[in-house]
Amino acid sequence: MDEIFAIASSLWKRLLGVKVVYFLTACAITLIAITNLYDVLMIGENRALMVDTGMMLVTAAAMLTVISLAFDIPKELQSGVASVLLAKPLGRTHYLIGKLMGISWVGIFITGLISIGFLVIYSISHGTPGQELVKALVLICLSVIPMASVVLLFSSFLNEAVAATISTVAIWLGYSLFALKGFTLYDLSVFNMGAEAFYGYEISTFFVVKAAFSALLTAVSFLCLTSFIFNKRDL
Amino acid sequence: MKYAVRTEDLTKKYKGSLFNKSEVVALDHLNIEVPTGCVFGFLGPNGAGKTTTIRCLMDLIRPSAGKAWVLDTPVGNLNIKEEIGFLPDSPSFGGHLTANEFLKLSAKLLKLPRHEIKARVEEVLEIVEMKEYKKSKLGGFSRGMTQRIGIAQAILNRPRLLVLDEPLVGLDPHGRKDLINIVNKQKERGSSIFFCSHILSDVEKICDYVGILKKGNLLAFGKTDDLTADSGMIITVDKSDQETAQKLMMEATESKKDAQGNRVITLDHDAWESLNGELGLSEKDTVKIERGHNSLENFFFKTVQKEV
Repeated sequence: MDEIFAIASSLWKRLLGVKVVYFLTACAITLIAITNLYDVLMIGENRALMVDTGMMLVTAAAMLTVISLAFDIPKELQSGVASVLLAKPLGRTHYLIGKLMGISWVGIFITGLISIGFLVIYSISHGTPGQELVKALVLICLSVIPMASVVLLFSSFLNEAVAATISTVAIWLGYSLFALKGFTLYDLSVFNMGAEAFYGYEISTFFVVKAAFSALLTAVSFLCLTSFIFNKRDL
Repeated sequence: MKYAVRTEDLTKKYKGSLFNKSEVVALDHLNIEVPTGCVFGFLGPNGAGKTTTIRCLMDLIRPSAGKAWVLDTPVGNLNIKEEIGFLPDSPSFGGHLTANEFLKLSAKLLKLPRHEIKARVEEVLEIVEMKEYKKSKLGGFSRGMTQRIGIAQAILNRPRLLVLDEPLVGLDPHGRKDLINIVNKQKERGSSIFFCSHILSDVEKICDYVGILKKGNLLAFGKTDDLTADSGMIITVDKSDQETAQKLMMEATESKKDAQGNRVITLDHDAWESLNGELGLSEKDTVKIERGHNSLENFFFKTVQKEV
């Protein structure tokens, strides 16, 4: 396990060492706060605008964070960093798990940071947020895991630009094409509960647990496929 | 006999692209047996297949056919990798980490005991003379400094087998000398070293065994001393003694004129024995006789000039 954590923490350190990440996080929180200024334009419905903007920005942050993995792995393969690491007693599957774990930590950290900022602004502007809003944000944070596994798959055998593009399309398909809300494998729509959160429809804790389970199952399935491909290829 | 590296008909073919279907044979049924405890120099012109062989041995690329063993264990075994140190060609280690952080990461991947990591990292930084740069980011290092860190990570685990792909590239003369010392120390410890380089004079100095590869085919393999052994006799005939020179040239393996116009003739042992008996060369004042020595460089160029 140590080697997996070593790979994950190296990625964590690299991504969170980039200052622009904090700048963009601050921008996202500021943008959420700015929605409060649109009460006239929104005819008093600026709460809806804040929730929509907040959910959209947290989702976008999750997506952008995981897409960065599409640049990380091909770059490591091209520059030879991966060769140095994989010449050590580190299995290729362990390397992939480390990367998945690392990007998931970073994704959850960044989306968590924006979510907390959002909730603080919301509570200052509109009073204590409902449980549903909190659960909806937790679901978005969890969506990082399946999205990261999709990016991991494409970045294990494609170059940066192609991997990033195809991953983005695949994530979009996950949100739209398979929007059956039936917990089918790779159904990202279960993590998009913005409307429920806004209108106060109940999101049960069981639903959140099921979504978490679905996220893990999706990640494990994609990881198996990625590992199969990655173990066959030359580095 | 125990082997540090052994390959059996190791073959690697690279498939062409979508538009160019032609196959490139990088390694063609390579058979080598490198005994443990020796320094093996793997030589060959660019594109010979040296790096491909090393990458096969490190399980970074999958051979198309054949088998390979490192430390008598099939390639790919994760446990045996704990006993191998590897320095790739043009190493890159990710610029965001400091030298210290990178070596700690390497130590963790090499499964060094936690309590040992800090001291061992300090130790290897001292060996490669990079202690003062331990808190500097790798991204700002020169090629030579990166190479030194590469060597440090390769010897972190006190490997039984050290695989070095072009380790002398990017090093200044001082760095080259240091590296040769490191290799010699590793050898004294009982490590085997698989060494790939273009700097033949250094290879000759430190390698017990040498293999020469060209276009994926092994052209020569053996002990360095055997390959560079006595190449016959070198006879310098004074320009005034044309008759002797003419007779010797009939049997010469090599003949040239020196700056003074004297004829310098190389004879193999059999030719030397018969011509010395016939012409009494040892007695002649016009003839100077020396024992020939083949440098690794000479041997290398003669060998790679052969067509595969």
